[in-house]
Amino acid sequence: MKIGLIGAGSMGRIHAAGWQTAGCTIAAVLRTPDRSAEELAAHHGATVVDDVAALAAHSDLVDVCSPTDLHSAHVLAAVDAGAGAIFCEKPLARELPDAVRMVQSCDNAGIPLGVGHVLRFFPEYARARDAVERGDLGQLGVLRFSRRTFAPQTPWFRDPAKSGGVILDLMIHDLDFARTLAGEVNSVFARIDSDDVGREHAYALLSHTSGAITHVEGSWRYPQPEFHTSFELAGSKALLTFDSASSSALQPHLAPPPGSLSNTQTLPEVPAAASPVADDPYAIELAAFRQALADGTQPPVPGAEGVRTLQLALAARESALGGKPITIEPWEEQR
Amino acid sequence: MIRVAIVSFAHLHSQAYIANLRANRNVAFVGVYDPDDARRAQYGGALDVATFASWEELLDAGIDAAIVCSENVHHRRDVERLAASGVHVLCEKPLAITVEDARAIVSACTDAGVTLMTAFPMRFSTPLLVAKQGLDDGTLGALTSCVAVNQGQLPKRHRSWFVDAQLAGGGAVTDHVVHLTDAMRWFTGSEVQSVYAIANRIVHADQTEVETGGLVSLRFSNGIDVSIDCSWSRPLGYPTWGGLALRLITDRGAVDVDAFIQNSAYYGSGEHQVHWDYWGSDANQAMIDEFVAALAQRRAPQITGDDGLRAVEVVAAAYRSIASAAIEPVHRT
Repeated sequence: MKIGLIGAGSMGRIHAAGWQTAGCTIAAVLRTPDRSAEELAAHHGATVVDDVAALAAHSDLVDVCSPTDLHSAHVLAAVDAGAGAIFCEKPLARELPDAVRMVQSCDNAGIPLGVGHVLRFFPEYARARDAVERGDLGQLGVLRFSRRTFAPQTPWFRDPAKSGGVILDLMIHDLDFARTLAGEVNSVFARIDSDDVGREHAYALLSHTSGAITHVEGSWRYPQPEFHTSFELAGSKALLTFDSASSSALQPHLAPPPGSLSNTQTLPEVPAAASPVADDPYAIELAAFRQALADGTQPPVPGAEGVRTLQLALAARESALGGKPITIEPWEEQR
Repeated sequence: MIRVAIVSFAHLHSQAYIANLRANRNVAFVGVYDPDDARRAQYGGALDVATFASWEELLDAGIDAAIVCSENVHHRRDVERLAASGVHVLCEKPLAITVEDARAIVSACTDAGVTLMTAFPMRFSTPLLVAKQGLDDGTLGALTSCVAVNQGQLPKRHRSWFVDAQLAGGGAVTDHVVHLTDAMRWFTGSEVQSVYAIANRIVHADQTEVETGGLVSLRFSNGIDVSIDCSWSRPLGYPTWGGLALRLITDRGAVDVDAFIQNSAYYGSGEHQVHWDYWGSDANQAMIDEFVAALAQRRAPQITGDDGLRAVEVVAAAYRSIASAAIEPVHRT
């Protein structure tokens, strides 16, 4: 399968590697204002193209890894260009009406749309979901999720108008996962603590229609290169907990290299979870989408799921900015 | 020597306090008053302490001070009786189950001229004391928000009244919101302005009618937000009773403070059997010592009845928020 890639930043590079692992070819990369598209294309032996129409013509599937506020324009352009299938990084869009239009356009054109809620493919989370679905935990009562790291250095992330801030960019992973485990959320209350350079720490309290309650924490206030994740799921039958700090399988504690005064290391620009596992969760995510296309089945994370999770994340941000709880009206997909 | 008694075996902590009182060299431990015959027999014998079946017997023994460990609903009755007899009081948390009762407790002690301290041992937890020092001297940065947890097993395991709404006044919100509320009042030097809270009864639902799950968000008057998980979300198989921890977000990053993580793991011969053996410092001892020192030095204790009242006001606002699904202001009385 030939992939046409939009966006050649950190996520574009991760996806390109993931597609390759999944047995696909990066055929074309959309030109970017900087040199990143050329560099990524050269690495994968792909062509750099100047517009989405050319990208769609060169590929079987268009993968959108551009900045959040450009997702809708890029997906809609791919629909117009007759893309065979579209995969879009999370969040599906910066604004809800755009996300709805993206899903409806893909539906109308008969183009499968998948959304990159990759957390569902991380083994610690996937196993937790299996445990919940088997009933091992009983009825879910109180859930906690936490994701804490540094603010991405790439400027657009730090502009809430483009990225939606820590809630839309980082916390959305756990908001999505809380939905998949405990069901839809009918009200959300959130608080944001932003420092003087706009680095946000946020927490949200969710009330699910199932009766479960969830606490979600997301932070961009940590020093580079720290990245911590944790969850705990308390059910009527059992408690399941995970903490990246206590399950980190490889922790270097190295003296500075000979001849060096400090232990200098190359710091990543954008946080990435780094527990060593044999199968890259991004590759699993992309391979699962590819398999659904081959089987003609529903994508593992279809566009409608992206809309519902975005709706929750936007409600959390609205609550935090407005200082009051927000009631969520269930979004029904129109078919 | 200060002659100290304990009122009631109802609260689990009565056992720990007996050991703490015996360890304080300025204390003559008098014994335990408990009108419940079964409890008096069970714990009095096991703990090898003098017991008193009636209030008159207790007062006749001659006491300067008492620690009130009765069921939450009886705190007001017991503190009022002690205050009327000129006895100084350390009252178990929560100070009372209603703001009205808490206010009455504070007034009774003020009017009688006796000392009233609320049992908030976290102010004496060594990890929290070190964190407080680091916030005060600036080495941890300036506090901007906090995410905190005070979770536990269903306390019914030790005493059934904890999960009885009539005797305890409520569930996890009543039991576990006050510790972190007080700790954050202490850390911030500020008062809680408003509260948002949600709660449910799913975990341990078959064993109690009160709420077992609770998430609370406090807005302090200096603008700091604090979330508290007060849930009884630990199953019987959890390796310890629960815990209390705070993640302090400051202008320099984040600081994790855990009052009960100083454990060694103890593995038994049963399948998947593990127990955490706590080796951290005993905050209860430091709290009892402060109560005794305040009495000996005729000064106010570091934690007062007003501190207990403030926390009860926050709990009341949390329950109003659970009912209204809106942010509720904290009413200062």
